[in-house]
Amino acid sequence: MGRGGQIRAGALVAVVEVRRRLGNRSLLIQAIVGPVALAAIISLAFGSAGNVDAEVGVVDEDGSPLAAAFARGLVEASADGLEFVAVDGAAEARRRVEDGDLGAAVVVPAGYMASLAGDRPGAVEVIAGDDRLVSSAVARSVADALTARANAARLASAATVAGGGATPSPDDLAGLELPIDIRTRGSGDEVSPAAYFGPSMGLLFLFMTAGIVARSLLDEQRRRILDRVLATPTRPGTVLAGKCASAVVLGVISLSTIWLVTALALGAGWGDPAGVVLLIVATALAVAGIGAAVAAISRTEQAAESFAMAVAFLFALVGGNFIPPGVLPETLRRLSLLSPNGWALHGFAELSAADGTAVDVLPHAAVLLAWALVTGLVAVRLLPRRLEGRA
Amino acid sequence: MREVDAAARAEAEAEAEAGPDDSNTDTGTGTDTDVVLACRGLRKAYGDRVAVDGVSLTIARGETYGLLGPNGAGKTTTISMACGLLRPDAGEVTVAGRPISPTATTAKAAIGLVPQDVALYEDLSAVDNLRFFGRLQGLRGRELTERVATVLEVVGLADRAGDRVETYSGGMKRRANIAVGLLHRPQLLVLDEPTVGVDPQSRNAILESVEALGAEGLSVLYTTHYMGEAERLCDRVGIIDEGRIVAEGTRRQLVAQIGAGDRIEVAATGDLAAFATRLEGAATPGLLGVERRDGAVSVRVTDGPAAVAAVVGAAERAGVAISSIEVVEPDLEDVFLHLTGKALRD
Repeated sequence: MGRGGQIRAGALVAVVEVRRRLGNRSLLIQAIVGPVALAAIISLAFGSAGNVDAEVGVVDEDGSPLAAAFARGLVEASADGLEFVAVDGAAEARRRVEDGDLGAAVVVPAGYMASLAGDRPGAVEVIAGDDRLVSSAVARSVADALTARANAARLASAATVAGGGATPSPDDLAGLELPIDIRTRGSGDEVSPAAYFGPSMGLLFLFMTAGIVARSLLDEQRRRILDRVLATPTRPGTVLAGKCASAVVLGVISLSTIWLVTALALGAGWGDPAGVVLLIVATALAVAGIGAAVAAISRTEQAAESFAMAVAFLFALVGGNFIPPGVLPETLRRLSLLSPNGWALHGFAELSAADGTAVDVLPHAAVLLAWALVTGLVAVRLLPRRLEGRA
Repeated sequence: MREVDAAARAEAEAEAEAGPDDSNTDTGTGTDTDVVLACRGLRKAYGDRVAVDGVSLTIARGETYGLLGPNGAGKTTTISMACGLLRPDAGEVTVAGRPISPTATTAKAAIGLVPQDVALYEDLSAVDNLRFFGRLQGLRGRELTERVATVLEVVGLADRAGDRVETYSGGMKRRANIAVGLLHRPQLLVLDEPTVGVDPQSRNAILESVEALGAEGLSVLYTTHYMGEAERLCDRVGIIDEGRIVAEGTRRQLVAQIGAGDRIEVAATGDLAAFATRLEGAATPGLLGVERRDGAVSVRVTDGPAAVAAVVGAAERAGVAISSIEVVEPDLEDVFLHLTGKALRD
């Protein structure tokens, strides 16, 4: 049997595997129903199924022209699902956040503007609700924006003084204020939780199914089906390639279905379809490669199952599957890029939240393909040796 | 013929290029068209445990060869190497003249393997299983369709061909298991304990099928730990224990090796002591010994049928009335016991 025959044999192995898996209800639940249901539940928990629901209080205790303009700009920038409410005093804001009346609050403390002229500038305070992650993230972003603007004002002041000019008055500094820039970005004008949790939950479950390749190979080895297949002119590497191809197909079917369902039923906008398809295929390849590596180092189906689940949850925790974008601290955000989940999620977020295109997610796809390549090579190296009784 | 040789050589070279471990070379057996399987000095160890230690055997075209031994003797490991599933630590295997290895493809096409377990996708129908394995063997189109129909008829599953295998009885699953091995008209059918856990009726059907295939000229390698199956089916038997073939030959050759001789079991009434004395004193051909029990005398001789007349004569002279007489040949159980000091276990 030549190369063409091996390719046909590999395709045949893949087709039979896909056919058998699609006839298996538990896989359908695991790969499609489960992630869609979880995405829907979590999306609803974060507000309406379609949009962000964040209510953030704004407290101006400073009373300076800059702080007043900033607070006024925020309140005027309120939009559907993202509301800024003026609140009298930090104590009142804290009480309302604790009561759940507000998701979070931003406090510009008294003397903040004046402190900018000194050596120790003050800090904008954020009151974060314990269970209102999106509101808290918005409040932090607002505080960051105000701090950046204050720093710009300090820089302008310092530059003026250095150039021989007089220290600008507070009114002058307020005039330097950049336009209020609170806007939602994404497909259309919404940042949908479902657009994040759809791929997020899909990825979580997809990585949990990484054990499919391993379980299939080990199950067939135990039942001697693999012996029968390998007693034909089919090479061990061909069988492995066929199993991996089936995992890729199943992964693409799973994520594509989740895409379709969350878009139609939950109104999730995943972004540029070409980019979504690119990321789905790259992710499915990475999962297949990881699954093959799991198969290569597992001796029993139980070990493969445990190992695959451990890997799935580790990647999910590190990759940020359970936490919305913007909430992750920078350190954890960087850490998430150690996992394929992290790259995939950042890629999907780039498409849905930042209007990215397929070109923008090429680096994400490349990293996922690298995962597929490296883990696939591990499997190609180890698995045939084990099947041949050499390892 | 020259074209065939050139094509075969080209294919062998292509396989050799497939990988660094594909360097087995045909040492000459391949030119012997009467030998379908040749194993030489096979050895396989798992850590400190040696599963197969220096096994050599050959199977001629049309021969049914039995590998008889208890569980754990090394039968399955031997056939795994013979089928190219396991790479031996030492030794070599040629099938139909071609070296076999896990990556060899041509030699594998000559083998039909029937594993001990029902190695089928039970959530697929028999037809789907057969079409899958048939395609892996390179069958296509009409040929595949015809072969699937033929083997289903052979194993008597044509009327249930479209049903999922999981709905079959144990015996039907076993027959479907054998059908896959026959699909591509292999030169060598390898059956690994095909009757383990099978009801007597299905077992008999399987044995009849193997007998019929052997009669049609198919070479068969049959592993079993049932002495009766080996005696019934096999032209030659290799007795394997602890990874070594301890004896090999036809049943009669094996029995002759241990020198046990036949037993003539005589049930009789009268003076059995006098009968025994006459047997020992008279010229009983090939007499090895006489043993007297209640109502019976057991006479051990080198050739039972040749000594029957002398035994009957001795009984008449001793005034003993014979109620039954039976010549019992030593069986492979006796041979195994003699060679290994232990009994074959079920």
